[in-house]
Parts: sequence; structure tokens; C-alpha cells
Amino acid sequence: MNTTKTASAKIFSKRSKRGESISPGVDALKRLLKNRMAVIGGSIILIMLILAIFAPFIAPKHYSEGDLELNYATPGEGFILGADFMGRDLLSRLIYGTRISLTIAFLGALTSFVIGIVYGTISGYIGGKVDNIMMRVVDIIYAFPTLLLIILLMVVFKTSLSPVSQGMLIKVMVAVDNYFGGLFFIMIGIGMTSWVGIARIARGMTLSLRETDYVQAARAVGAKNLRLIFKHIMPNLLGPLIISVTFQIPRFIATEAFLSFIGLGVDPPTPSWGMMISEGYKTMRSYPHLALYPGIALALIMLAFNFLGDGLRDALDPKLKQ
Amino acid sequence: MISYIIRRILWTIPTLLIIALITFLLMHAIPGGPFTGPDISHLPDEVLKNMEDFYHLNDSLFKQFTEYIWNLLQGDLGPSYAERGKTVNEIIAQHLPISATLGVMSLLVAMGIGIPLGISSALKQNSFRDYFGMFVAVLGVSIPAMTLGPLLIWVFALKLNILPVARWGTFKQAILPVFTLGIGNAAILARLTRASMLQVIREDYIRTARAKGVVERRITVHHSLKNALIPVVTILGPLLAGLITGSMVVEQIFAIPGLGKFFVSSVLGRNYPVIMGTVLIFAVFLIVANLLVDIVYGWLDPRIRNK
Repeated sequence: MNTTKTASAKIFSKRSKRGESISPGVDALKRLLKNRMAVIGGSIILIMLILAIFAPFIAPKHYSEGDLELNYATPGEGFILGADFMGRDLLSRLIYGTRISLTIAFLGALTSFVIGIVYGTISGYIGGKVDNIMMRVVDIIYAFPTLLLIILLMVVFKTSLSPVSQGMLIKVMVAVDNYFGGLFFIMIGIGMTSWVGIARIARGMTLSLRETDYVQAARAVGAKNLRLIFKHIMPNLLGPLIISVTFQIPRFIATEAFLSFIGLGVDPPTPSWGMMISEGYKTMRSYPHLALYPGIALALIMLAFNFLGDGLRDALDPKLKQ
Repeated sequence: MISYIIRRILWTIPTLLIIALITFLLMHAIPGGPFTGPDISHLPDEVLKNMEDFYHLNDSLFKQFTEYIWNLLQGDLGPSYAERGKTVNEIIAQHLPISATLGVMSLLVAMGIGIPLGISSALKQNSFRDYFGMFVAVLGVSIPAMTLGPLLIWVFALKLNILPVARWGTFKQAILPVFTLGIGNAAILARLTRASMLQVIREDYIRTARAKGVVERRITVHHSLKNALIPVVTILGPLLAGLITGSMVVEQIFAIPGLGKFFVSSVLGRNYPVIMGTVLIFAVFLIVANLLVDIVYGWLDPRIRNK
């Protein structure tokens, strides 16, 4: 990390010597790299990303490979961190577990961001009756207790959408879900509920940006609607929306862990940290590490995204930092 | 103010109706009746039909829904399919008080830790105390109950052996679950109190108070804190939502017979009427709590109420 820091610092000093202007993006990145906590958070995420991508090469065993005669093996004897109740290697399951949490983190953020920005910008840009109706929909979803809605959806997904049910779409969805070990429906549940906050911010900002002089000027010289939206309005939304989405990420990760903990999340043997904790706490007295290690991994990734979120907020919106 | 409250109360009616409708539709989207399925031994057709008639499962969906709503309005959430002869109402009456006690205690702990921590950080901004306090707060926000619970059990019950591992009833047994549930919220409150406090102490009226010669202590308590806590009130609604999910995890880990634990076992046992009834109760509870928070907020801050 240190080398990137100095390398980027060099670039910046060179630029400023030549008297060139620094773009807002580079400026923000510079501020981000100066923030020690954000750099630590980013590094943790990067390490976990590497673990997730190269899990088959890094993990000593496959996550579902168990030996019932070796269940609850203590750390050391062939298992670096010990084995769980089915004799599966804990370390390998922890490493594969990064895949679940990071997939939820990035896909959740992407879904929330894309739906939110498109919905919010359209609603704010068109305005009038359309805006009114679109925002009532948002209000209703907003008034819902999000997690309870996800729980209800998951109960239905888990029980009613079996492969025998009719309909091509459902069959495809169930097949996809099975392929991803139950992750797909969690994504849908999170995706359906998380975009409304983003949509509200996007809509509010679009409303005020639409009336600004530079947008009016662009319109006066003949810019079309799409150009106005994509070229003049959306770039201004990116910063604040990226901050909001980053702050949503720890919640996505916690939601997946929670669902898997109560048995509505991923399907076994998919190694979700939440499910590993729920399997592990039952044997706390004898094998506390089975619940503690996945718990620490979960806290670590949430901490990393919180650090990064704080850093991004300070870097992208220096006004907020007092 | 009164029209504001009435408007808010009226808004909760369609919201609750929609929640009830969705709950109902989702309950019926599950194929097969509650008495068929792979987990249940096959019943003779006549028995099955009698049972379905008994629970009115063969009526039209519309009739079932209106009946469900009608019963709901009379406070009847229907029977539990798993425990014979027990209604969802009885189950909730039995388990909800325990969860409520746990929730209220943890909220008190959260406020007792979070608000003073936030104030102390804000009063010495950018000092070591501030950085340390906020570091602890980020840590608290990031550690979910399912990590903290086993961790606290391991340290205080298994290693130090000073507190019981689980169960519910005595004061000592309450300490670990209450803190497990409270610390995350304490951290959220601390961050919010600090941010809000920092904004308030830059206001003109604080400078005026200082110029008048009001003692610093009095400024903090009477001038800044009073105003800084207004935004803190608004977060209590979302915090309650967190408490509900947190209680599901905490009650499970600490073997506390609350509604959260019962909910989780109903999910695992596919006891749909109980799942739906519990979700509905939680939803009503949250919506009422949010309504109360909004009313208190409007009462505290006249600028909101007059909008």
C-alpha cells in the first residue's frame, strides 16, 4: 500500500509543478489515499477480493469436502483452523465465504445504484404527475419495514418457487438460484428494497439541477433531453450517490448474514459466514472458535466498508467534513 | 400540529392494509395447503378436506382476505398450525413481553453509552478523546450481534466465568444479551450525537450565550444539548427496526424464549400463520413507533410542524 501511496504522491507533485489543473476525480482520489482509515479499509477489501477470486487455489480444501470421522477436529491436525461439525475445513469455508459477502456487497450496491439513479432521475426530470405517482410508489416501499419484507419474500422464494412450479421465468430463476447456492433470491430481496433511498436522493438533486442556469443554457443551445440527463445532470449525482451506496454495503452484508443465520439465506453447503455462525454457536462451550472466526471475518469486512465509506464521504464531499 | 398528527395517522391505514394484503397474498402464494407437503405424513382425503373446511381454506381468496382483515381488526391473528389448539395471539402474548423487555433494556443501555460518548467527542473535537471515541463507535457499528454475542459469551461466560452463558430470567442472565443488542445502537447514537452536537455548537445563539457570560457547563446542558438531541430522536424509529432483527439473532444465541427466537423456529418449521402474524405484529409495532417518533419530533421542532 505504501508504494502506491508514494507513487501517486509523485504523480500529483509532478502535475502541480507543471501548473496543470487536477480533475475533481483525481483530487478526490488523492484525498482518499491520504485517509489512513480508508486505505486500511480498502486494503482489507482488496485482500478479501483476492481471496474470493483465487479461493480454489488458496483454500487448502473444497468448502463442501467433509469427513464425518474428523468432525470438530481441533486446529492443527491437518486443519489449520480446525473442522466443523461435518468435518469440513473451517479455514477453507472462511475463504470461500468471502465470495458470498463480496458478491452481495458489489451486486447489491450495483442494483441499488442503477435502479435508484435511473428511477430518481426520470422522476425528477419529467416532474409533474409522473413524478407524483413515481414518488408515491417510493413512499409506500419506504414505509415498509425493509427487513420484514425481505423475510416474507425469502419465505416465499424458499418454499414456493420449487423447480416443479410452472412458468419458464420461474424455472430459469430457480435454476440460477440453485447454481449460486441460494444467493440469487437474496439479491432480489435486497435489490427490491434498497434502491428507494437512492432514488429519493437522485430525484431531489435532479429537481434542483434541472433549474440551474447551466442546464437551462444547454437546453437553450439545443441539447436534447437524453443529452441533458446523461451529460449535464447525472455526473453531478454520482458523488453523493456513490457515498450513499457505500454506506448501504455493510447493511447488505449484514442482511445476507442475518438471513443465512435464521435459515432463509444461502442453501447448505454454501459457506456463508452467517450460516457458519449459526452452526457454530450451538457448540460454543466446547468449540468456541467455530462461531468466533466467521464472526470476526464478518465484522472485519463490515468495518472495512464502513472505513471506506467514511473516507469516500470526506474525499468526495469535503464540505461535509467540519 | 393536530392536522399533522391526523394526516400521519391516516397515512398508516393504507400502509398497514397493503402490508396485510401482501402478507396474505404471500401466505397463499405458497403452493399446497398447510396440511400437505413433504414434511407431513399423508392424511386421508376426508380428514384433509375437513381440516381445510375448518380453516376456511376452500373459500375464494377474496372472501378469505376480507375475513382475515375482519379478524385482524378484532385482533385475531388466526390459529397456529403447528401447536394444536394454540392461537397466534396466545403465542404472541406469551413471547412478546420477553422480547419487549430485552429491547427496552438494550435501548436504555444504548442511550446511556452512546449519547455521553457522542457529547464528549464533540466537546473536544479532533482531540485524542474524539478520535478514540469515534474509532470505538465505528467498531460498534461494524460488529453485528451475531459476532458480538458469541464473543461476549466466550470472554465473560467461558473464560472469566462471571456471567451465565444463556437463558433468561435473572438479572445476571440479562446482562450479556442486553449489551449484545445495545452496543451497535450505542455506536450509532454516539456518531449521530457527535455530528449533531458539532453543528449546534457553531450556531449563533451559542456564541451569544457565551458572550453573555453563561457558564460553559450550562451552555452544554441547556443550549446545545437540548437542540442537538432533536435529530437523535428521529433515529430511534430505524433503531427499533434494528432491534427486532437483532433480537431474532440474540434470542437465538442466548436461548431466550422471546418472539424473535420463536419467529426463527417458525421459519425453520414452516409455520406460515405464525410467520405472517409475527411479521404483521412487528410491522404494526414499527409503524406506530415511527409515527410516535415523528410526532415527538414535530413537537420538539416547531419548524417541522409548521411545514
